[in-house]
Amino acid sequence: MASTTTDTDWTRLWASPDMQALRRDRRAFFAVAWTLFGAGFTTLIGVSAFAKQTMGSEIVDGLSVGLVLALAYITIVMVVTFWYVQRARVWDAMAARAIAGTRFTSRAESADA
Amino acid sequence: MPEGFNPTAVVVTLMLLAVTLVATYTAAKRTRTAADFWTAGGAISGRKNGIAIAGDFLSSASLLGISGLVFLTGMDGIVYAAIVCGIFLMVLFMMAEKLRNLGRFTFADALATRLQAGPVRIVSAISTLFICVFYLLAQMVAGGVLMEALTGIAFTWGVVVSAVLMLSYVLFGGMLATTWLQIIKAVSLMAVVGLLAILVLIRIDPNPLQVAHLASVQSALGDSYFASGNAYGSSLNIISMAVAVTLSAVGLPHVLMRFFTVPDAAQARKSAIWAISLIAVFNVLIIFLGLAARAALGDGGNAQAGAGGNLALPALAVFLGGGEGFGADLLLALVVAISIATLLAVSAGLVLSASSAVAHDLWSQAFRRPERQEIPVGRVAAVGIVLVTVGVTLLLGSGQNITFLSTLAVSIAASANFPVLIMTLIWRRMRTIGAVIGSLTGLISSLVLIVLGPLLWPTVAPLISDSLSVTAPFPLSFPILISMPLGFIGCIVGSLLSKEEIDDASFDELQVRALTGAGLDKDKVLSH
Repeated sequence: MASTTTDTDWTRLWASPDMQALRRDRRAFFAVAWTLFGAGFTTLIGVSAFAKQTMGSEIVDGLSVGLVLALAYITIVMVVTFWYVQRARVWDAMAARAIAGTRFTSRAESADA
Repeated sequence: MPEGFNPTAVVVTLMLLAVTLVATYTAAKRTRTAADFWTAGGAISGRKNGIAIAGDFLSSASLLGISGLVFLTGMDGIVYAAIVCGIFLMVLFMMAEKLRNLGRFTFADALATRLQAGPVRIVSAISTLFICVFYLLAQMVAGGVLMEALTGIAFTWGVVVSAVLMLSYVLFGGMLATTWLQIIKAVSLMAVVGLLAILVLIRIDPNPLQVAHLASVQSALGDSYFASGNAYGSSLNIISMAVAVTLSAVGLPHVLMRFFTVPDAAQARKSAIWAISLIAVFNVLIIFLGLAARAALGDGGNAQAGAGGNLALPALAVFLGGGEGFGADLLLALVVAISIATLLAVSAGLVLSASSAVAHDLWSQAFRRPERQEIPVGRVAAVGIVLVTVGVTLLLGSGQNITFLSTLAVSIAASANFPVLIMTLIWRRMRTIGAVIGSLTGLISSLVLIVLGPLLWPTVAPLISDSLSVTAPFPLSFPILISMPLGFIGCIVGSLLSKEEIDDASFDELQVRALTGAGLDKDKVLSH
């Protein structure tokens, strides 16, 4: 298992320039995506928990502040989801480049079974 | 609500079940290897898997429970439904692709790529069994009650019939049948919910905002209908609900297992996106239907909707169908059939996941028996798990309040499985003993805090001693705010105290493989 050695130098792969570019790009995306999501979540739950009556004040008949916040939260979830899809397509290509030309010896589970 | 035996509902339910049995028969002919049985050979497309995941998640609790919650409490139901939409974003961001790249059948496979396989598989199997059995109990009790209320079949028979059906899906068709069952159910569920929403626009008011306004006018809560706190009360309880729900799927074994049914990470991603989108559409519609039920039924609707509001949607269906006659019967029958199919599909997924923990993680991996024994052992385990669950369900009877069971399942998933998984994926110093301690702390603290919490304590206290106060010593219904951090602390303390050497190479390997899918066993894709 964890002690099984392989021919592949994973440490070198992990530190390779292509992999570092991929890691940087992912970090940059997730920093913004988590912030957006966190802001949406905190606003909805914050107002819901600490300004209970504000949630109920209606902007026009039937459209209360709470309903707007709830729909805004769902919209944020959808926006970061589709933004992730776009970035992930780029990451697929970067990941393929990072491991291109390396031969892998499958270990762990297959060695174990 | 019409009382007693409802022939239209029974006929429509039987027709839907006939379709699922045909799917099972077809699936059974294609299920040969362990990979076929557990993960449908890893050959399901991302779109289908995503629909199946949505099907898994949109249980009768979502259909009847959320619409009922909106009907009864207004804003708290709306907030709950919105928060549910973020659940699979968490799975997408933290788990989906990495798990697909690292695992084969169960999430313990991913842990075993860098930790000692034996111990981590045993603790994962324990928490998986706890989660699945508690969840299954919740489904069975709810199912028996639902069948009794909607079709007039007695509770005991309802439970036995659903157990037999669910077992036949699992035993004969494995994951492929379970997946098709979920897809059939998800598609019919969306169709029925869409149809009801259109009927609301036609029969009540073409302007959705007007329907919402009418709901607050009709509610006895009046202006407070759209204020929060009607269901959850205190600020802390609202926050703990939101955190608990958002993180509810990242550790659920039967949900994680679904990500192994697709060939690669790109398809796993696609699954999550389909699931997120379908759940979002569904929840917006279900909020609308909950409001419509209040608008249509008024405050007199409370009696029809039952104590928990669970029958608000069926009551709305009857109203939209014209109150009585064939139209009303048919709409009600559709809602009933979908609810029952949902229940069977979710239960089948749970049984499959629990038996995979026994047959794959324990039998063939931890105890090192041949992999070809996985299917027979899995089938025996499935029968055993269902027998135990049916026994306990019949003992509990229909009178029990069982909300604590699903809360318990979700809390264990988020407190025992999630910390171990995420720390194994991102923390270089994570060691085997950390995983074992983290998993057990999360499991035990969830159990203890639920017993001490408001859902269970009022029932438990009198059993221990008459002098005990029935006011729960622990104030939160969802213990996750405490038990999940305890799970993380268990992982960290256990790892720091461990004498096991830190294996940098294997962590680097895990990271590269998680991000790239390098060295992924492609055989199972080609075998299909």
